[in-house]
Amino acid sequence: MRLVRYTYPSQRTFAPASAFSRTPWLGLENEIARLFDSAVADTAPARFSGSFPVDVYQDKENAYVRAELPGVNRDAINLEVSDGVLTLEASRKQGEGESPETVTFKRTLNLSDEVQGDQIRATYENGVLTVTLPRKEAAKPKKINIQVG
Amino acid sequence: MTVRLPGVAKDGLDISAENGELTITGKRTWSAPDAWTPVYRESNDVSYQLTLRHESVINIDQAKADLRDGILTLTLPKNETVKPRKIAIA
Repeated sequence: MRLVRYTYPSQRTFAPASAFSRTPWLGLENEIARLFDSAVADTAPARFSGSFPVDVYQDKENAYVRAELPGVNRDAINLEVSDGVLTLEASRKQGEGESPETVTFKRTLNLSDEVQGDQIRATYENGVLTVTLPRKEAAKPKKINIQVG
Repeated sequence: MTVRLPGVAKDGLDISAENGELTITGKRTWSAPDAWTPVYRESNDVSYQLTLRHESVINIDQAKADLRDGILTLTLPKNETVKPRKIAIA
């Protein structure tokens, strides 16, 4: 079998697949992308070497961390909060038969003081881990009614 | 064959075979609710796409697919005609 096209959207994919496919420059673009990747490999989080993409969102009530961790067993996910640092750790068994290896992924995120460390919840669905970090009551935006007399 | 497709649910996945090419397209099923403000992004909302040319060495009719926890496992049996065969010498 031969690979014709592969789009794995990570932070490195800046344009939608349709923009680049079927152009005569595809080979050149791939080459340039490869050169860029090797040049920035030290600064950008590597895709498959112990790291994984993380998104952070927030709304009025909570902050949310979404991590792409495909094929990880729920038991193999560890969340830890200490001193305002959230540690996401997961491991996946790779390879079958004689030499299965366990790959461990780890990322740490600094939390703001607003987060209630003891109220953190997490769900895992379709290979994506979602961590809900509730904000402290005092940190939530409040509406104050002012009587104008 | 295994393909990593985090964030793709069964209904966002499309596997098609045409003209000797096998195409796997995975749309992300999840999108942030309106109230959520992105603070920091590393992932992308663009669909996954993988196209492989198989030159009829595999039997597409017998292919099996299984999507679990963001990993797609495709079982593509080889065509009978291309399997290595031992020929006994009479």
